[in-house]
Amino acid sequence: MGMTSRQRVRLALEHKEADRVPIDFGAMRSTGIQAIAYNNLKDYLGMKKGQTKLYDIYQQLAEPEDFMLERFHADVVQLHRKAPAFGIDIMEWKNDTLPDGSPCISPKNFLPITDKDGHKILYSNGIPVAKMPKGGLYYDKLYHPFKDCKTKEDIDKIPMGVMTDEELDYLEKEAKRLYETTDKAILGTFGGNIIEKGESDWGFENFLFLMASDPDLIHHYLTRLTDTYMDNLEKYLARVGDYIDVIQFGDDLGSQSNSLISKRMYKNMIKPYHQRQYQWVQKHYPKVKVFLHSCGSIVNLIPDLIEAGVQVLNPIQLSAKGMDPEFLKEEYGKDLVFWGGGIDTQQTLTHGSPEEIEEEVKRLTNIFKKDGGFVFTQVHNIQANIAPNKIVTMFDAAYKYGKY
Amino acid sequence: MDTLKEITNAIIDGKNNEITHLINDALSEGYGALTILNEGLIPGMDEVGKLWNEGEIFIPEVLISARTMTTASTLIEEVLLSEGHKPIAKAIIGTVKGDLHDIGKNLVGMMLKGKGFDVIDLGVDVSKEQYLEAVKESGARFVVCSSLITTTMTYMEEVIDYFKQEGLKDEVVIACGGAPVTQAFADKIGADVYTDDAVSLAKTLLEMVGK
Repeated sequence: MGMTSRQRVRLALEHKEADRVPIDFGAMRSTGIQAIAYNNLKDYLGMKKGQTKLYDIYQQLAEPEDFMLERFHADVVQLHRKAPAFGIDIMEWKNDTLPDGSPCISPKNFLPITDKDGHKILYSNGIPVAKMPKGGLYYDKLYHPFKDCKTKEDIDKIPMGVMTDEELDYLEKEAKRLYETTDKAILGTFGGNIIEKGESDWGFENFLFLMASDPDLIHHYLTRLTDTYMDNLEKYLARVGDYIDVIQFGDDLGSQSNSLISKRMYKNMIKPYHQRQYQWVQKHYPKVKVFLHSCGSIVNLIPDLIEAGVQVLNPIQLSAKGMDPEFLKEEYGKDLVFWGGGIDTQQTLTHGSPEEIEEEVKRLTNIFKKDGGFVFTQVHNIQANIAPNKIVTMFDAAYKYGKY
Repeated sequence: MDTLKEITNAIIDGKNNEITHLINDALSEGYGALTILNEGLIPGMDEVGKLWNEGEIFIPEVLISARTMTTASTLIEEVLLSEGHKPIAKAIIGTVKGDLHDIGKNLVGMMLKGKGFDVIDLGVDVSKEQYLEAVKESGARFVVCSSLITTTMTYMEEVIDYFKQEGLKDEVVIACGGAPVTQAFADKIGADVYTDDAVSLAKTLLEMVGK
């Protein structure tokens, strides 16, 4: 009998070679596929069935259906949070239409309002929280609740997101269902974002500015944030820890040409809060691997990330400075599982021909697959304008060249 | 230490609380506003740009320096205007239509201001009509377009084509940048200038002033 997807992923996570490199097709909010591209792909493959579920309204990502997972030899499924974006839950669905006019179902409470200029605005409790500009394909955050905080007292007045019993009940039921009805590995989306949550709560530029100009204030905020996360983390893993294979954290630390912050600032301002969460997971749930999504050029921070407790790194942004696949595999391949880095999405997947795509998948798979420790996926979400034949070429090449 | 040198250091270290007082000192010591700008402030931002490019400082440190530069240049501009000086050149900046990301665009704006440009920031989600209108209104010679995502960078070509169609392409220098943008892409769409980073862009545009 052949190997199951879950066994295949577990071997890769243990740095062992399985029968082939596992494939992640859309199992995470940064390895996903934009719903328009997903509909085009279904049309191209002649799969006129099912329903396209728009589970991530922020980035407009589709939940891959079972027949699509099988077509692309996918090995991973996602355990979603109850409300993946903007506090809108995914418990109930309604018929909807994507910006290109193609059909989907979207969360029942996802009810954007089009303003007089044609922008779509999303409201929560009467406050505009997100906006899709006219002609755009994504929502972006408008609301930064901590933006005007000047003192520790100001920070303490604003509530932070505690996981409710209702969410925990949903998570346990859903994790059990995925565990018992599929043979896929399960990626549990937790979050635990530190710098990204700060950027979102205070405004991107404002938060980076305050990290340099008022570190005491920011430490106070991050301590409170991490206290909340630790409480959530304990409850979360008590319910789903026996079912999931990886727990996904996220924190973009890089830009195109360097890390966003210095190594020193990472050590002083961010690492303590990463470490508290990641090492707690390692200590109490050793079978659940700590997965960090962190975009950009982060090569100078990788040793500290490993020390903090990161075991699986995504996305390996190949187009960012210094993110050289051979160097990374050689230098950090024993400590890190590379989940991503299968093809550059900024250049090759966007501008390349199918031949160039196949060639790059082959080259990168051969670099990363040695001794396990590699899960194939493209560097970031497949964007709306990516032609379906390129997507097919990419995943077929990953399957072909991933064999051990 | 010489007051101009102190001003340079205050910019490098982002000492926003001290800059106003230092500039007033320099003015009362008899330095002209233009001298303070050219020999105090601009060398400070040049050093910030250099340290950033060399990987010695990062975005948070650039931001505190830029905030100090803004405080300083607001003060200096008032004096310069009252003395009848004009900025070296005007540059229009903006993130293209459909794209709401602004940190890269803002860093470009900071570096251009650091070189003494008058920067007109159109914000994010900027249409080709808005870029053109801003050029007509301000007479700016430089137009700088930014995008973060592969699905919006294609709009830069529409901006360039629109300037051609309206007969204004030869009057302006159009620069393009942002994470997914490369020299090859900029060449393909007919952009006049592309650089890898904000510091190089400010340097390149300054070299083009008066040519």
